[in-house]
Amino acid sequence: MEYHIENMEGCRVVYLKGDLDLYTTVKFRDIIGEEGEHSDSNFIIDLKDVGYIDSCGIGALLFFFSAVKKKNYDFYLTCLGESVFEVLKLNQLIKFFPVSESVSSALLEMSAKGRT
Amino acid sequence: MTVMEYFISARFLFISFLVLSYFIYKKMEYSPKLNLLLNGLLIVLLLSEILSLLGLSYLTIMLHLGFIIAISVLSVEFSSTRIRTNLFDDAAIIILCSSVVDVAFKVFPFNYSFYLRYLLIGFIAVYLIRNLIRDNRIFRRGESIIFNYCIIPVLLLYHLVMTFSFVEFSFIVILPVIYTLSLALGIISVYYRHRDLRDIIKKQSDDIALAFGFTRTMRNEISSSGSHLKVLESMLTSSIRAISADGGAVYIFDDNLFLKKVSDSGDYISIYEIDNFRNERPEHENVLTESLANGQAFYSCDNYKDKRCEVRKYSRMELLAINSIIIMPMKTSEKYYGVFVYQKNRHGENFSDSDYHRAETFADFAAIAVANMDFHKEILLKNEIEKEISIAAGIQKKLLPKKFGLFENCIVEGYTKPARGISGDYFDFFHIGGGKLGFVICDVAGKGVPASLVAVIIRTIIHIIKDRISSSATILNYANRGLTGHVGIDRYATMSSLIIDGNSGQIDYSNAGHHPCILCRSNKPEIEEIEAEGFPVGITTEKKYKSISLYLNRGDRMLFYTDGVSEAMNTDGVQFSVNRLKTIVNDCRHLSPSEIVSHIRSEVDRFSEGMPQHDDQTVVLIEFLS
Repeated sequence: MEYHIENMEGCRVVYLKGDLDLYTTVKFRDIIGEEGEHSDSNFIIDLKDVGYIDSCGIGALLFFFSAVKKKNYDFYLTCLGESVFEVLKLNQLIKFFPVSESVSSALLEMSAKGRT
Repeated sequence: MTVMEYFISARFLFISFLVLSYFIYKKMEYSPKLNLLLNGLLIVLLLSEILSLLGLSYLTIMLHLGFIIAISVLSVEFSSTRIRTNLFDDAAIIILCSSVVDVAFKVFPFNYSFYLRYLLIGFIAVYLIRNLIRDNRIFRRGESIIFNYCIIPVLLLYHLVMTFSFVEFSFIVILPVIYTLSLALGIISVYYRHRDLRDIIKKQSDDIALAFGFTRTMRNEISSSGSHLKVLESMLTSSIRAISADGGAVYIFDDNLFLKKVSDSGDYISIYEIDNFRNERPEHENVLTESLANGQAFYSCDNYKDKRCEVRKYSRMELLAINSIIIMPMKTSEKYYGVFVYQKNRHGENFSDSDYHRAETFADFAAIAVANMDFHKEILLKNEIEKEISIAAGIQKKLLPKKFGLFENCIVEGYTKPARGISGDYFDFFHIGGGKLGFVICDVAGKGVPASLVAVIIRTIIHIIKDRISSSATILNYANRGLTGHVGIDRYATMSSLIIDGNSGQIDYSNAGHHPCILCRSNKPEIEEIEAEGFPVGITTEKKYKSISLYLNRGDRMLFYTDGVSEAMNTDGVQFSVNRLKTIVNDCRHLSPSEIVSHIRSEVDRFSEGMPQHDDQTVVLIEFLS
């Protein structure tokens, strides 16, 4: 799994690429460790290039979400592919995570809430 | 010529030398082709002499002619089999000429024959001188030694003796001396060549002995402490002895990537750059630290002459106190463990290229040995963990329902198959009074030991509260409260709970993010899914779970499963899918619940054959009878 991070309008946007499963979650948790613990900002996780996610991957997203929420910052998942969407829908977590169509729409939603 | 005259003549002495040479050459046994030529030549010359003495000149001629034919045939034979060598060609041509001259001499005993023999003597002499002077590299080869020192001089002397015998000029002393000298020179050359070989063999034997001793040390260490220290110490002392170093040390990288000296031996002079080296430091002070950083060997034959060791390039003076140094990295293709350092401190004593290569071999051997020890330790640890997991799996198995069959007018059948010995899947069914049967199935996020611990927590919660369960939602609410905030949010679990009234067929069903239950009505051709809302347990307590209620008829079947079944993949990356499960349930209405469960298991196994099981698999089928 690859990733890169951009700062957009005071928000950290994490672009993930590859599968998010048991084997790659360790790396994703490293990002969480570095970002979620030390960065005080809103987060957007872009899942456009994530082809497959399993329960471990969802667990890591929940962990990240929880860490950001604890600091009272906003968290969005964006650009969910069909496979990721189906898994989240099946687990009914699609209603739990704030989800937006794109990074720009997520930024707009944050802006509307006065978060940026 | 009387018998006495013959015995003191050069020809007799020469023949004696031929006999002696035959046995000497026979012992040498170099190239079979040349040996054949040489032995043939000696025998022909010997027989020729005997036949001449007996006055049987025509037989001598026949003998020589036979020899000429034999050499010609052999030349053609070797050419066709592509094993011909230049040396063999040369030998064949010269011997051929020699025999032709002999035949000519016997047939035409005139002055012209003498001239012909003189010509041949000159030709052979020039050929010999050319070989000795010009072709020095080839000359050193064993076969060439035989050829240049034995065959050519034999022929040369033979023709000289034959010539001078006829002109009644005896070389009774000079010829044997010359011949003896040339033969001795040849034998000495062979001896020296053998001596080099003996030295190489001795060194290799020493190395094998060292490697054997080192392997024994490694074995002892693996069976006792498993520490690298003794192994590296053993390798250091062995290698110091092997390359005759005055002193040496072995360093390995510690956790902070600093080189740490683990052992030194002999007169070892510490070097600042090595003692304070840290890998991954971006800047390098000099060529030495650069070599260390790149994992390259540093070899200076003579530090006084080596420009890399000049004081102005080095801030330190240690290298000038060391006469010659080898720094050899100890690394495999995967890991850079450290370095071996060897020093020669006495003036005039330097390491050779051969020492460098031997040090390289020792360092490579040590690196592989250390890597093998690490690998062995990993295997031991893995075996230990697997043993513990196996015990845990046994305990977990005991926590699952012990028997299937008829409970409260329902037949329950199922199986669970862990992906890693121990499972994050859990299912259970239990009487809750009033003719009702409770049932749960859950799938904890992740796999292995952490997931199984959460599964055990859920089971414990359910067994504590099972006597006061009022609805299926109660089960999920209790489980959710027990988990949320107590285990990590990433250890959530999807879960379904069900209460069946065995008398009325009423079911109470709740779901926490689990796959919807597949319902196969006995009186309807289509397959249904029972869906109910709810987040997985362990995430939030803000929302309570709700139950939905419906009735089952006689023969209705409910199939519960975890995603390890529906997402089982085949070698093409295709998932087994919920639709396949539905199809099996629909197509197998005529089978009993236990037969359907067995069929599902075999179908999933067959579908994912050749692929590792990536997730725990659980299937439970409930059929209502009443």
